Amino acid sequence: MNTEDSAKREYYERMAADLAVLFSSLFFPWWISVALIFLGALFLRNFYEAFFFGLLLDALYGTESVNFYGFRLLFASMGLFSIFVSAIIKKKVRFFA
Amino acid sequence: MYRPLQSKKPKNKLRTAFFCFAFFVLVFFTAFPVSFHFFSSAANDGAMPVWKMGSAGKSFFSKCGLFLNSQKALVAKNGELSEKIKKLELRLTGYDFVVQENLELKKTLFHRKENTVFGAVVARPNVSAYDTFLLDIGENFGIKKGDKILANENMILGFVEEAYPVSAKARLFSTAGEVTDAILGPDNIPVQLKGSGGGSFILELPREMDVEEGDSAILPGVPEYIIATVISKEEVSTESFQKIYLRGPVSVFDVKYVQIIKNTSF
Repeated sequence: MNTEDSAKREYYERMAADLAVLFSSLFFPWWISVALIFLGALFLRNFYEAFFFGLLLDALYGTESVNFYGFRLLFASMGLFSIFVSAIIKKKVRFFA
Repeated sequence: MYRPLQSKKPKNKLRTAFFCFAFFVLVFFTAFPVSFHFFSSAANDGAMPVWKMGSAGKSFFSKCGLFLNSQKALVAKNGELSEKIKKLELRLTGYDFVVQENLELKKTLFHRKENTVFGAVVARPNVSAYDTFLLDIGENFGIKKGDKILANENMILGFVEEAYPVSAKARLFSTAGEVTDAILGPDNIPVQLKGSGGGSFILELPREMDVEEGDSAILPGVPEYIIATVISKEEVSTESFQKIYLRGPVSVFDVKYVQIIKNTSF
């Protein structure tokens, strides 16, 4: 497979993952969205969308008073954390090499 | 002279820029909650047409699914449901009349005018990550923060927490950690219900207090609304307190429509 093909494939995979997470954040239980975000961060390169999907979950369902010890952006932080952790996992685990 | 064996890995500038941006966004939204309210409003109002389309699609596919059911199963189900309806009708004879009379008497007595509207619930706990309700009506119908959310004439679920131009977000009394003052049972015991998520509550009372399964917890005020019903209690002989488990009057996972009482202070 040449470089152009693999880039195209990665593009379609990313699009599919983004649509799946977006659809699940609107219609499926929240934990499915969280699982998809984490899987996306693990299997796709630089899945920065994780943070924005987390932010979307916070914006759609969170309220000012329902929060985690005063911190409202719990899912956005989880998205950011998943990007950070997945980078370490990818470096350390041979499966992702 | 020292020469590194491996060439220094170039820093991923995009990655650094992204983390800086994300950190800035988190700090900005935490420091200025009003800006997040606007962002939330735009997200909710933007997602509303998609949710409405989703609800329409869901009802269409559920109707399509009926064709797949066998006739025999449908006839059996029909018989079973008819039987159930008859039993419930017998139990509820006169209930509607009593409720109506009660509400009218209270209105006459307290000269209270309550303006109600109906709204559809587009996202509920399980889909909603924070145990909140998302409603398809907002400021366009005069919905404001603090308006009460009812599942029926006298069953209260929560109140509007944030109102946007065409949508609103409601907080439930059963949200984990939420504490609500209520009156329990025929003895009118003042209690503090602690929400434990998913429409359930938990409560601790001295063992001497007589609480039975089926007793209702009522929101004090006029008119009174049922918040929850006792489903079980746990007593340990060595402890001086009993743990009481309560459940909301309706399942928060299945609520499709709610009644919103406007212009009430909470």
